[in-house]
Amino acid sequence: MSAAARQRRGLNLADMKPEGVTAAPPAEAVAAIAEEAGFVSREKPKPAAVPKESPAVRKRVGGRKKGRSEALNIRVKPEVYNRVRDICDSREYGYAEFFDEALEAWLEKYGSQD
Amino acid sequence: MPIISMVSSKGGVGKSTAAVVLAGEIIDAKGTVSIIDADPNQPIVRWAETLGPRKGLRVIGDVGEADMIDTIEAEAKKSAFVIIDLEGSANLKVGYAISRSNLALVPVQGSHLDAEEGVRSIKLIQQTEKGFKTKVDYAVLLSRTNTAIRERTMNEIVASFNESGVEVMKTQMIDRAAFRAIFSFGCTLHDLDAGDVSGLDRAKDNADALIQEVLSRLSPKKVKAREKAVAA
Repeated sequence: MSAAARQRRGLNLADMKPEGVTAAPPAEAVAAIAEEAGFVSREKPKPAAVPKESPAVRKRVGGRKKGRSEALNIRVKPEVYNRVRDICDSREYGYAEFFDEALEAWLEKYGSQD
Repeated sequence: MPIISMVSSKGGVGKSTAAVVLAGEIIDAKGTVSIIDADPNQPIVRWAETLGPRKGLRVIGDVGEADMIDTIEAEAKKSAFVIIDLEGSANLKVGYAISRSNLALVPVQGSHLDAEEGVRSIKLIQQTEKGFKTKVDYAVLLSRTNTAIRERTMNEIVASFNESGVEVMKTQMIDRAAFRAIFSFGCTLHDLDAGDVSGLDRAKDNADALIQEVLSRLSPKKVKAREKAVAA
């Protein structure tokens, strides 16, 4: 439609101003009617945010010194740490002994890695 | 403060197209309009991103159930028209939108399935009217119709709506390349050149007829008459 034709039909909406909402029934009542008509919520309630917690790391008491002079400082996941702790505690091993045996087991499995 | 909802619990019936076409006519006539895109696929948000900023046009997306009413009420204070493009499913947002609407258009293509879903939405509108002693004008908008052939199914659907006392808009949204092009190109009908797409003038006439009919339904005289009818 040409601009002239549009003007003839008088379509000028420049004077229309926002006026807000007049009919505003309460949301709960609207929801009740909608749900009765089968228009139900499709949005799952958002689960409450649970802070992701790392497993607590238990402090180890004591330790053994059997002539081991070199330090091996490694970082492991808390789960791994706790498993190693459990094994060491149950066998009354120090970490160094665990590491010795873990190395032996590894060598047994894979052989010498020279 | 016309608030117009595009309602159908079925997808792909032409709700977004009708919303964008109407909005294009409003801004072309120097009016202001907010489109609330309540469809999770956000077709109008994507359209608006390509379109870029336009005077008089606001597009609000990512509207959840909890925000729906507040968003409608906020936009009604910012723009003279609010158009709500709803998701093609029976969900709570439809109820919220209808409760704040002056006019609900129910696009229906020429299929019985569309018509059935349209009826479902109309029942909700009627229940809302009854529940709140309010009047929400509504009408079926035949969409994606064919100019050349008036199919038998379409005739049956129109007859069925008429028998039930449901008004069918005189203006139909004809299936035109220009209406598809506004999404493809991210523009309004008035940005297109005749060389871009065939039948542009006819599409503009169609859009003009649609806005004229919508405006006539929203005229204060007609609104008062409908309110009287509800009160009686």
